[in-house]
Amino acid sequence: MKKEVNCPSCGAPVVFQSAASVLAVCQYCKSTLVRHDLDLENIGKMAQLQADGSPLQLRTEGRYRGTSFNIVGRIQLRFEKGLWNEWHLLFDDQRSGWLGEAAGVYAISFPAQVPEKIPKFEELHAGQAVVLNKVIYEITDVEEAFCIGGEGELPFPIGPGYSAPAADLAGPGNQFATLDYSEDPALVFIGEYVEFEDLHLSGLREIDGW
Amino acid sequence: MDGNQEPLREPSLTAPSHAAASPQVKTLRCSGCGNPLTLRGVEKSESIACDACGSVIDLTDENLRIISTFQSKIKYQPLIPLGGRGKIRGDLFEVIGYLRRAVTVEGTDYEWSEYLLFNPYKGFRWLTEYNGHWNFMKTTTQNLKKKGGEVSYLDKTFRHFQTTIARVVYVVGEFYWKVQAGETCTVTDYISPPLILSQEQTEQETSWTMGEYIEPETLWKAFNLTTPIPARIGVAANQVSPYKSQSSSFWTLFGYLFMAAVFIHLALFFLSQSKLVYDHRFVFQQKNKEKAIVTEPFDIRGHTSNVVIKTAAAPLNNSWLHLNMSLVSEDGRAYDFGREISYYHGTEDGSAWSEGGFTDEAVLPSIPEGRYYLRIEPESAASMVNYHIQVYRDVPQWSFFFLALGALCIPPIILIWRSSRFEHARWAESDHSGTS
Repeated sequence: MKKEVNCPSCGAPVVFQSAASVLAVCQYCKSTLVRHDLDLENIGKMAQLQADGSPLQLRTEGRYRGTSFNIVGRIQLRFEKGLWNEWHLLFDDQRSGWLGEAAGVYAISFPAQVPEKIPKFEELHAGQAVVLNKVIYEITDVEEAFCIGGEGELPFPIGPGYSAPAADLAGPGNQFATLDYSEDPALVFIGEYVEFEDLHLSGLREIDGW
Repeated sequence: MDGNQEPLREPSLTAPSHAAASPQVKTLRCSGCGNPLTLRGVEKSESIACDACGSVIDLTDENLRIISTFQSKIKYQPLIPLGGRGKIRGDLFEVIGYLRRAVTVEGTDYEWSEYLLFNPYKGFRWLTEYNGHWNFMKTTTQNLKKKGGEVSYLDKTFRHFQTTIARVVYVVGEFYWKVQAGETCTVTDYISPPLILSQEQTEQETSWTMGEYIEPETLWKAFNLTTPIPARIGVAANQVSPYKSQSSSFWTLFGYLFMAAVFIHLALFFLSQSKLVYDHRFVFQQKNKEKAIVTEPFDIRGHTSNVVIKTAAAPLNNSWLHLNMSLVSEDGRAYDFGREISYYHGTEDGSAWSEGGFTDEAVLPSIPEGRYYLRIEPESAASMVNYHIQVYRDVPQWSFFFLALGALCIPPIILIWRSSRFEHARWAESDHSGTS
């Protein structure tokens, strides 16, 4: 499923490792390339990401529930509380997933199709119960996050500096869900919080002094 | 293992440029007083407080604006210095921030310290210190629910301890939020020693932090501190009762000693002679009163032990029999004792009552072996009473068993008392001091 193309801007090789990826950022010239059926569209330079001290990086490998994954992309978001990364994971079984990460908090999630009707963003408030796949979740945070930019490859196109209205939901135990209203209908992601150790990460970014 | 001996890794050449450019420690000048400040939080910090002038600087603002200024007259000295590193529960952490918080309860201020710890892989942790008691805390990702003053988490039930409004009175170092002078939040503590769950509520958000009581000695060793450890005052909310850990081994020991007492008693029971050495029936008649009876001599054998004199009398109908007795040895030693058997009965307000009985048992301890006789002086108000005297040698006594049991019970009672005093001291600091 791996597909290699040349960056229309600088000619450097750009790899789409996942068949699900529609966007890739050229790692040399930061051109944002969107894959259409046959051609590749350059939608402009991707914004510089902010230094956030994350120990993760593109090509970091890990394992979740027995399946190995590779980090192939990333979206960096700014919430009121600080920066938050959504790392795009490509699992060995070709499944796409997300590893949300900030300041030592790690959360694995997958896009989900739910039979229930998702409330509109304007209707959301903290403490509200939302049922997803017959499981009751509670809204813990409703916020208009700001997307700073991305790197690597992503399963949907993003432009720099778009706003991402989103809601965080807490489920039973370590489970959580995210409702992403940057598309209509809203995208649903369901997952769980995990401990750093449980991800068996390798190829981490070296951090000075640690 | 010494936490400060972690090998330093070489900076990666493949790391993104913005990351490789960040040195181990960054410095900047305080926007308030120009004092140099050290940045340790590896890009995560949103604010830093200057210990020279009390200014808190917004690190997300390119002009490093001052958010607020702490006008604290007292400069608190963190017991674990900023920049100190130590390994706690297997992970290395660095102290990056220190804040002092206070609550006012019934007009009295109580203050405690909070140390913000950071590890770039594991994130943030807290060490809190109050009256020499320390907790190692981590923010939970779970959404916890209160249920009637209790919270269930990790298969444990946490009991409500207290709810207070905490305010920040002093800060120094870095924080992952924009800390404000005097900012307040409602803190509700729930305990399940050695664990504590702390709920912090502001208008914007609710967060839960779970902590575990940690021995100060462990911290001093982890952070390589040579300063004296502040003494612990009182009992901490989630301190494990020292009597609780003692008690399980204690009750095992108590169980063994109890079984030993039972075993010894049973052994004595089977080994004792319980031998009938004299058995005779007498008749008291009013006409023969004040006549003393001297029995046939009988032999009492074996090691020095007790002698039990059992007496039964009949008929006693609202009457009594008094026996002045003396066990006399052939060489002239006499053991005098008096016994009374009485039985009264009747009807009062339509219900029958009775008092006394027809038998009696007298125990003479420590009677050496020898040849003895009994001297009996019977008295009674009745005209005639039959009575039956039996003398037994070496009868096992329950009283020794109960005495041993009583002695055995003293340490548990002390333990229970001390344990309840400890729990009382714990809950005296809570919102439930009146009820516990």
